[in-house]
Amino acid sequence: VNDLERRHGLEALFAAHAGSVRAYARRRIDAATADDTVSEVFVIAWRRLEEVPEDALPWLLGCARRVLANQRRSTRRGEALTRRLEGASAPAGWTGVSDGPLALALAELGERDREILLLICWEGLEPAQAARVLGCSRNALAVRLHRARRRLAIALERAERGDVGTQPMENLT
Amino acid sequence: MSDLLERLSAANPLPDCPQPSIEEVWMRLATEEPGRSRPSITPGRSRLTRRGLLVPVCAVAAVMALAVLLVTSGSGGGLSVVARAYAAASSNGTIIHYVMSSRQRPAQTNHVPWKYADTHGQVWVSGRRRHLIEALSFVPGHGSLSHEIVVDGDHVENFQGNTIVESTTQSASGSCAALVSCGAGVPADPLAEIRSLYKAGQLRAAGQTTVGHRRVDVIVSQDATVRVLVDPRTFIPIQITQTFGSQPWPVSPTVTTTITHYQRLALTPHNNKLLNLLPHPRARIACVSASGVIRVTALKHCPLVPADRPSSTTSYTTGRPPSGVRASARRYAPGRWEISVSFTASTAVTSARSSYTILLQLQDGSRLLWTSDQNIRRDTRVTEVFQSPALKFRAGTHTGTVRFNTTNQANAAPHGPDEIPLGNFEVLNPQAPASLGASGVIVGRFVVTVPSSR
Repeated sequence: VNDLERRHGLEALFAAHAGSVRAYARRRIDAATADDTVSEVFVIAWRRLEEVPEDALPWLLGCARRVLANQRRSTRRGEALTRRLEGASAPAGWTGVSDGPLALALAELGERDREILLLICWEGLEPAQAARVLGCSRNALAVRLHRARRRLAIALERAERGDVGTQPMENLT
Repeated sequence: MSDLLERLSAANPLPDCPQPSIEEVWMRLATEEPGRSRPSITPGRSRLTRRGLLVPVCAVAAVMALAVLLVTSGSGGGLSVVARAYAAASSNGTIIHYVMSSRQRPAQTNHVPWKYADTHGQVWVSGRRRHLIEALSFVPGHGSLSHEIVVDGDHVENFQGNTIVESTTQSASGSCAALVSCGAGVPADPLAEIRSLYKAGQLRAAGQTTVGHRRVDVIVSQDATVRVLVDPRTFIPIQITQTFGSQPWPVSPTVTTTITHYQRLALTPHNNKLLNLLPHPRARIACVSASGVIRVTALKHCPLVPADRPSSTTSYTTGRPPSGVRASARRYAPGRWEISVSFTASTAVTSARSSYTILLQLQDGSRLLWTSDQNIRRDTRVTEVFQSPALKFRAGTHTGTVRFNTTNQANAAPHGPDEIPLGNFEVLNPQAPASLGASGVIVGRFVVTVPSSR
């Protein structure tokens, strides 16, 4: 495969999935970092173009998930320190969700539970695709999804009663 | 799907997301080092690790990588020179600022032939919007002009001779000739040429050549009408030669553009002003319609308002006022004058990244800008001479400034690997955050009097 064909391949991949990757990142982080994440993901895709499967979206979202995790790891400690110095608490609720109780419930969930639910409900992935994003088997995902849904229901019930929303998010994840 | 998941789906804060641009990806690929190792963050790694397959898989991968390396050694690998040059020439989402000089031979203006025409200027370009400040001289000649143009797609704003001509296209050149010389038209954009040829698959690498004792990569178009020299490390274009074979001229004109400074600026609201015309508060506005009708109006009645420019930032310059700026005018031929400006340099100029520039504001509203030598020692007397073969200064008093330009990185001496010396000029690292155009400080002012010719 020559360079021109690879370039066209990446352009086709970008045209098909860049919007979804950006939406995935944007729902989890600010716009500038989301744009950085998109370009980082497609730089990886360029380097590993031969490894990208035909159903590329789960593969790309998996990359985006790890890129975001790397970024979060590098910034979390600094943010926590800043927050302590400023005497402020972490934002309660999941950013951008207008349904108040649901936002609080999402914030209370662990990262893994929340990720499974959002991949299904927001990214519109099938369970098999979500399993590829998370690097687990389909059966394992079905079990995790069941548990995540149950935890969300409990958290939502507590949120609607007004029992949650006071604990910093990082202590819950 | 249960009610709970439906409720979660309905709470999606971003149902639609705009499609990003792929230019950023090309940019990153071009600016990253090809051999740089990176952490593996592709999906599936955790399963391999968990099942104890990591060691055998790594061993197999290492053997395969070695085999691939042996097979492809010498072919370069990674992105091609052409793709990297394309990315380096891309200006979407950023501002490319470059200082250039070009020579066209043969040339013509208003159907008068010249052996060649030289252009010196600066360009700020972002996407389809381009701002040029250029001085053209026709050599050997009887003509010289400077102009400032903003091109945004089909929309053109051309400042020349104290008039801003606003037009939709240059097709109305027959009419606007009454106000300004339309011979120059809208200058070609060499970076756009590189991009369009690359997108059409018309560019190919053509090895290396030597310029100024340094090896540079060569890229040519399939029809050999465009030849681009790019820096082998940054892939920034440093010279573009275009041959316009379709022109009705005895010999096809050839334009060679040499880029002496090249930098990327963030597309901030502040820097965005660099894409606008300089303020010309006394300029007339001529609005040329597509039918060629010209409407000249005062500034206040015209919708076109020259924008503010970013003010000079002095926080990272080390320029101090030079002592005693002196300027004089000498007539060296009938109607032709030579302007000399001398001053004592308080700051050394040892790199192409800093310079003294002399700006002369003429009475008719036009301006002359020239740059000092690139090798000036501190506390030495510098004399800079501007001699235009055809510029007819009006008798009277003209004012000017001496300006010291530098960059913040230039002050972070010593000049390290962010500079790539190439012959008698240097190419800046595209990642350098410095803004050459906005980092100057006026360090001296002068007045020069051109006596009457009689």
